[in-house]
Amino acid sequence: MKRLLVLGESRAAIDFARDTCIRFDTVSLPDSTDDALATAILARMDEGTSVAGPSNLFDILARVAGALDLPLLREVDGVDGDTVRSGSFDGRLRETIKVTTARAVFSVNSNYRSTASAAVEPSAIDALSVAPSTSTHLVSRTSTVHQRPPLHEARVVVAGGRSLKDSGQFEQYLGKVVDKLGAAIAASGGAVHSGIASSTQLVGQTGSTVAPELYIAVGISGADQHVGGMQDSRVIVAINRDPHASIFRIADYGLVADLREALPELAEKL
Amino acid sequence: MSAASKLAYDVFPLMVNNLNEGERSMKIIVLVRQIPDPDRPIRVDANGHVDIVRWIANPVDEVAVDRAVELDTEVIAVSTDEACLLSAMARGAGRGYLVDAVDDRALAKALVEIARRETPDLILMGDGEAGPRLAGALGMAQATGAANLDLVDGGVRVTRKLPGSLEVLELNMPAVVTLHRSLSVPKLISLYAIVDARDKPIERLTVAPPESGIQVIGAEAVPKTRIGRMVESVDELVHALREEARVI
Repeated sequence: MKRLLVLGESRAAIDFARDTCIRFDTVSLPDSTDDALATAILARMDEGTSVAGPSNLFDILARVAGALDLPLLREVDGVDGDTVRSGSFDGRLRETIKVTTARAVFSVNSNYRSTASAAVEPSAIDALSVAPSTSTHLVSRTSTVHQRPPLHEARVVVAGGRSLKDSGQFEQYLGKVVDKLGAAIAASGGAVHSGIASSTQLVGQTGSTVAPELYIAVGISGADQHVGGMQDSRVIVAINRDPHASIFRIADYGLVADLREALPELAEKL
Repeated sequence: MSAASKLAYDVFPLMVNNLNEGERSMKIIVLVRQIPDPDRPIRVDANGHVDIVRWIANPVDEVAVDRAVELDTEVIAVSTDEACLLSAMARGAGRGYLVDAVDDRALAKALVEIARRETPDLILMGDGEAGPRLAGALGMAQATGAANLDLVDGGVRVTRKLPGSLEVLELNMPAVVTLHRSLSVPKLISLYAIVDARDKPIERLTVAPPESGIQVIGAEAVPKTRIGRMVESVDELVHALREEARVI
């Protein structure tokens, strides 16, 4: 690649740039609307410039690709010469793609890490100067950080079982981990039936079916009824005192521990 | 408010709101794409040929059709698939365009052509590449990840759902709005509506495919496998989640 413009200061996109070209420019994006940012990015590009950015800037990258009618490579998590590993259908398919144009737009996965052994000095980062949009106006922005996300929208779900005794313990042990991760809180059938948790929090065949990026099952044995509602989660963590609990059979990571010791430690170390 | 009009307002709030606005003056184009059925596997054979066992209409796109119809405007559906188009017209779209497109880039090209013919006020669809790509090609305002949208004087007011915040934007029309992917439960459609949809006009449109500039040389389906490893400590767990699974 001849020249590359890197958007934002994410490690993933900068590592991608290090693996693909010798020189690249990095611009930080001020707070503005997508159309205004894309216009400013286009003004920084010339005939030979490609663009890369982290996947959270996907909508801006796609707009730039559309304006210039360039190919957009998404979910990029590997590079080898002029081929990249990219994804489609929400990560269900990985493709190796050879880029045959002089320039393209790359949306880089947040887990991208450089394979280069020698550290390349980062180029100077300059702030992109952006003229405000004439067609898009920001009316308001309200933080939702302190509200826990609804179960169906959460990237991370932490679920508790009956071993949490009462609703006070449920909140005491799960709450800190949930808030550290910006997670939603969920419960097994056992916890709901014994009145520890609300039925709106129920995950399982008779409750909600969820498939978050990360599902942490705490003190849950792993009955089919519960597993049916969470088995499609991308990464499953099980924490249980009983080493024979069946939840460990479907978990990516299992920890045999008393939740009353493990959860406070987890909250502290996250 | 009388009991009867209260009932009417509850059941048909948008109809009541729009009673005095006369003829449908606005035009919305809605894109309905196909996605691989999330409950069926994607297979790749030894020759690298990708086999999608079953395609379904993207439910977020179908919600976009529902929302456009609720706004009581002229709704035109666009799809690469005739069944998706019929279902969109059963939801209330008045007519449809059936287009040829191999990917989102070609789809955006086809939509540019349709938008030039139809001069819509709004182009609506679910999340993904096509929406912002189209907005960039047409130089229109864009709002992605919309949890809600309402028509306001000369424009559209969109509530965007962002990680950790809600943002309200007002866009001048014409504009491209994509819906947040959590809006994935379209309305049920009746059999009568499906039968009626067969009488609605469909126009076929073929757009020359763009010079692709990329060449797929290999593909693999990502299997759902579990790592299945026991960790000894909370430290090891946090490390694995950060460095191995890269999920936190």
